[in-house]
Amino acid sequence: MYPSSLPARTLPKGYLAYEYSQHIYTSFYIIKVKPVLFGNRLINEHVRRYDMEKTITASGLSRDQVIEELMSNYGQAILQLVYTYVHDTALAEDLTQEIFIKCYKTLSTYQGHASLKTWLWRIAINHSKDYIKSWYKKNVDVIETNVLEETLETSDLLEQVVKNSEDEALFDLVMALPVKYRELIYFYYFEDYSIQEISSLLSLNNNTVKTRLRKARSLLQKALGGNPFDGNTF
Amino acid sequence: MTETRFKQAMKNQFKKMQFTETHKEAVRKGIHEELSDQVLLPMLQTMRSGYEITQLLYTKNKEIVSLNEGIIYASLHRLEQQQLIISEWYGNEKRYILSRKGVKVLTKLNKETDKLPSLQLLLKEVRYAND
Repeated sequence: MYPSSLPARTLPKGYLAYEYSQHIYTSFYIIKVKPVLFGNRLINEHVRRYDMEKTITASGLSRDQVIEELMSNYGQAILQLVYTYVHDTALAEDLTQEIFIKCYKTLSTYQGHASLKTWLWRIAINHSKDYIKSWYKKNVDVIETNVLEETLETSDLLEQVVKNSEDEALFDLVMALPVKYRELIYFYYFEDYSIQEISSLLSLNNNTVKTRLRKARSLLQKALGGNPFDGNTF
Repeated sequence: MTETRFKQAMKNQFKKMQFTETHKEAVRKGIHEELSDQVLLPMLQTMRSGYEITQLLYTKNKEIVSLNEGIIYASLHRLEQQQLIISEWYGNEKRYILSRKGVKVLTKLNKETDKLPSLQLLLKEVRYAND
């Protein structure tokens, strides 16, 4: 996105302008890159590491501009992601704003190992989970219960299942799942991430992800008397 | 029920919330607050009046400060609301200093900037040059 839109002359000598649309690489190693015309020279060699500040200053982009781009491209997605964790619109809005501000503060520490999007997603996930943890510490005396069963036993949700359309009911049930199951359902079925992507995003191993997904589906199956995600193997 | 219907259900629910320009503005505001905190909090390690702070900032950058004096007082008010600074009246003048919470926040800020390269280090030098 950034490098390909920059006129080559704004980059000091030695920077590689390359076409790799979605990522801004900060301190980066470019290993396999489409050979690109830079000035008059065809460059397809490795590039030295440059740190974030130099890259940004050199490219003329300020931190503000990077954050603006992130907000335009991912603001809505992040809001939805956070809602999946905290289940409250106003709260999700507040947390989303905090997340982008956090991004601004820590942008200099971004190393370019993962894509900017993955980096942003990790910040969002951790921020949401931190909030949930601290909310639980403040408000909840934790007793081991099966959250989903309890929720179904209390009248409201069951009535809702009858009243609403099936789709909304499924959504409500997913929201009633414990966070560690809920987030997987969201990433796997809504954002279409692969098992590999999910494990890298959440720092879990593949088998944990698969096991939890199966458990999540079986919880929903129990609740709905049928498997909503039939015929799905990982 | 299939995955596509689930996706549709989620999409419908998500339509009820939008990341709007208002939210972006709030982020921009938050960023500015962060930046002004980085400048103001270190200055408030000693007790100062609003006037003193304005004068000190003048020596750094005349133009910007003369256009934005109001922002300095607004920021001081906000910091007091956030309980990061406390105020005391000395005669007709209100003076401010970091609260315990403010000291904690400043310590945390310093730790964060310790990890950052070039520009942030420069910013740090500028801040300490005020004292």
